Amino acid sequence: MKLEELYDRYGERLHHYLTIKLASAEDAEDILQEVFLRLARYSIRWKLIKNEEPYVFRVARNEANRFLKRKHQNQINPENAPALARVINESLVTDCPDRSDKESLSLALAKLPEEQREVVVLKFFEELSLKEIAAACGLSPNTVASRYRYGLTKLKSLLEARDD
Amino acid sequence: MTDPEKEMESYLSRFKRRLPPPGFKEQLLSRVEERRKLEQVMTPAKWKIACTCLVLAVIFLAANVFIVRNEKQHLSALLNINQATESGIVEESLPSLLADIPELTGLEKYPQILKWQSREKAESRNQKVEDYLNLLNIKEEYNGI
Repeated sequence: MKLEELYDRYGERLHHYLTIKLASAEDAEDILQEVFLRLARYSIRWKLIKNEEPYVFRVARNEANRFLKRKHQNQINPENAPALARVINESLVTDCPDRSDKESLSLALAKLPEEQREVVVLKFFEELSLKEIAAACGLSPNTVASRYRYGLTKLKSLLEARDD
Repeated sequence: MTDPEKEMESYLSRFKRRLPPPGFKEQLLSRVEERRKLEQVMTPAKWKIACTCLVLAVIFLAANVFIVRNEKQHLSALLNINQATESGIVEESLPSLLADIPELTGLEKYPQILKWQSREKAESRNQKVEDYLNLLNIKEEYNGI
């Protein structure tokens, strides 16, 4: 597959996913470059891959984790939630006229535990099914489903707490 | 799926991801291509050349072995040179050797026979080399070199 075709299919979604995962648009750009380079190197394997979408996201996830490990930072620090919330806020658009809605959601998403946030982001913004998320994250579908459920519940409670 | 989940899903569906800035795709792909070119020491063209060279080398070596063998047989037949085998020489000369040293006992003869055999083999090898060199000289003379 050509790189351009690959970008048209996954580029924007990967960029958005990496931006939230790494809490930085600049880092996401660098890592996306690495991801495409890796995909180009693995081009010989393309014929053997049955589910392309989870595979591409898995490559991106692994590359992002490697990057975080290099920075001695396996996860985004929960204390950095406001900074992450700003990044999430900039990465989202809404047709809703009330801007505070988007800000509230961004902050709530930033406060979610990393593993729940990842599942919610992949499901809603990157349009992956729970099965595909399981394949991309190397988890069982049940684990992904429970993380998703807990994530939504927590998100709801965080949003309600902010409204109050 | 429970109602609060559905409620959250409909809430989240109001938000979409922001698209990257214009020109992002081109910039990213050009940088990836640049890095790919730097990484590729063996380009497809270089691989083709290397494979062709390898195939040609194998063909040349195989042909060389075949030609040398044929030429050797042809020249041997032409000049009527018979190549004696090592075992043939040993079998023919062994009785005369034993007859030459009747004073030795069986145990004493054995190392002597071994020594003799190894000497015979070495001589036979030297003889073969000489035969081969003679053959080459004859070939060169025959070809007018």
